[in-house]
Amino acid sequence: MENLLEVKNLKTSFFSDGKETPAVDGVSFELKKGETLGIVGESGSGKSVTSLSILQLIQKPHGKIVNGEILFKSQNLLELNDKQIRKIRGKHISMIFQEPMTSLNPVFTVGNQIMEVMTLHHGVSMREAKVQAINMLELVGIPSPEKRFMQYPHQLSGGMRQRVMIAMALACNPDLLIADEPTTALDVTIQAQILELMKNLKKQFDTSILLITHDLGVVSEAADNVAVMYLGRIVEYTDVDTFFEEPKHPYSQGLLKSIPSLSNRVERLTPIQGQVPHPSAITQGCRFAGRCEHVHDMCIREEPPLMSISQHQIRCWMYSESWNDRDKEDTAHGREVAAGRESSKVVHH
Amino acid sequence: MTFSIMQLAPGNPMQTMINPKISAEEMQRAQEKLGFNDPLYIQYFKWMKEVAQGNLGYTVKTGQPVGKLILERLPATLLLTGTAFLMAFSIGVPLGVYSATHRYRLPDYVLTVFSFIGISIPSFFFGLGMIFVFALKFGWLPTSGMITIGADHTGYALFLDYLKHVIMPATVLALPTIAVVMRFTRSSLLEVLNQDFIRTADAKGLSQQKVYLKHALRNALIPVITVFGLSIPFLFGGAYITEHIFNWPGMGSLGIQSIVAREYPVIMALNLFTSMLVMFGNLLADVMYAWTDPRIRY
Ligand SMILES: Nc1ncnc2c1ncn2[C@@H]1O[C@H](COP(=O)(O)OP(=O)(O)OP(=O)(O)O)[C@@H](O)[C@H]1O
Ligand code: SF4
Ligand SMILES: [Mg+2]
Repeated sequence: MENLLEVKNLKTSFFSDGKETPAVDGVSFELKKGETLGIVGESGSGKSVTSLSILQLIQKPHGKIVNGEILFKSQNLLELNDKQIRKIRGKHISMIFQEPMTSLNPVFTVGNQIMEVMTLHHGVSMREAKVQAINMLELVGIPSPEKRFMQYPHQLSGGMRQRVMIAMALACNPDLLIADEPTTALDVTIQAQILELMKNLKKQFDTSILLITHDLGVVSEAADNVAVMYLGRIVEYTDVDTFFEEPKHPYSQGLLKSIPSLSNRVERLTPIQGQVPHPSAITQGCRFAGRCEHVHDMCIREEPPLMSISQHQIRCWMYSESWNDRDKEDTAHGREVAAGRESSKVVHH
Repeated sequence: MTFSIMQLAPGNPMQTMINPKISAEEMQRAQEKLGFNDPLYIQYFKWMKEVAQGNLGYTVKTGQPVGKLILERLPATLLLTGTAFLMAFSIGVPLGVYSATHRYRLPDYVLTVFSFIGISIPSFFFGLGMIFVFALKFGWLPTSGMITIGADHTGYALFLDYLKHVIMPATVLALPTIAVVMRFTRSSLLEVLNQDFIRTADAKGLSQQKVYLKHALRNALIPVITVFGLSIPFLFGGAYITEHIFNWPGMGSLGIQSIVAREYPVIMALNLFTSMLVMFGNLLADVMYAWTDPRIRY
């Protein structure tokens, strides 16, 4: 089947004082109709920047897509001008954000904000839009939708606001929904409800979803494929079943160990040491080297490419031919160098 | 407050009317009779009592009722300040939007320089400059007054005549407020443009214009309402000098004449009026807040 969305070699950087900081670097993935792709990674790994890049919502003027292609229905979105991309937004591709509390405009009613997309893209009359908007509110599980329709965002709870965002995003029945951590800011029971809602709506409308999250539980619940991101790179990319059965990248393994699940409930949770460095501190070699327990001299010399191994795409030297011939002595040395770099945060380019 | 400041100024109305033929002794007697020698607080309470009964007093020199005098001057001042007020917001807000949306580009820098000049230039200097250029040099506009005396215009011609007279003083009066409104609108809009809901509006596919003018501006104008409320007493205050420069027959020139003549009752009444304007401005701002920001309910 043809891909609905194909991101090829995306590079998005932020520029300040003439210095380039690549937040997303060489990211490629694809999404078929009706499919859900989960993008996971810790805070700062570049998930939001990736998702914002698709609709060119990166903060101007210092944020810029430097390289790559974003093919939507085989059309490169990056070649569209401002007017053309605005016709795609909200109609063919829509987006919900991480922050439900601040993502709605405080001075307009909920109804006004939902109707706005409908009248804009479908050219329906105000009366028609009102009927549809109330239907939409009902569909996303908002009780007494007629009353909510006339209320302002501050009169709604976080969970309700995220439902409104979903109603707004699905108002024009888009082909693709980008959901950037739709549940992160909500408490656990509400998270489960929102996730359930998204799954149902997806079945109903056959919408493809790009689901951004740092919660592997969410991924196992809702996604078909997974891409793991680390410091602007995809380090592992595979289908959900393979991923949970047999995670290969040391980072993925670390992430899995750090969440409570049925399989490792008895073991102690072992979060990965340290945190994602800032992209301005990228050094040569594997970007995960500073936190990897397997680090070897070769990891520091050169960054591993994204390699295809059976069901996986993986960016780690452990899965290359040369790993078996490696000099075991160098492992200790590699660890030292990586640790040294981590603490001094020297910037090489 | 006003009362005590006035008393600190040397001189009293009697001295400005001194007729050299009147002896110091007679003068003393007259002052006694009119109550000038009473202790200050007694004078003040006397005044308060009258005001509470709706009597603003009478001018010292001619004995005209002060209330009537002010009412005669009110329309002219309302015309001038009203025009200036409309100018301040109808020019200041769009310039602020333009400046914010062209940030760090030439138009923004030009407008920034303009606003600093607008805020800091003294109004008499700007006013006299305008008169020199537009009235004396080019002869396009009249130098002073509110209508052409003796022209007997009616209808549309009268309106045009008013307009010609009001445009210069209103510009002089409005200039600092235009500059302030512009800067406020600019910074407020820039702040709003960084907010999450603007990204949402963009993500919906709205045009750039709709994002700016519907989603951003409505939010950005909330802080500008403060300037709106403050500008009312500010403009009436500014009218003193402006009316004086352009010989505009309003309350401002009345005020200046009264200060020179030490007409306490008039000055007191004008100041009372100004304080009421401050309160009115605040009230109006509060109403406008509630109207534009649904999060505020009284
Ligand atoms: N507007 C911006 N200006 C400068 N740098 C930015 C900006 N937005 C993101 N970055 C940088 O890009 C990197 C990736 O950020 P991003 O927001 O994509 O992370 P994330 O994976 O979404 O994390 P989180 O889970 O916290 O949302 C970070 O290092 C961040 O500092
Ligand atoms: S390449 Fe080396 S440092 Fe990077 S993840 Fe693999 S083993 Fe660890
Ligand atoms: Mg994010």
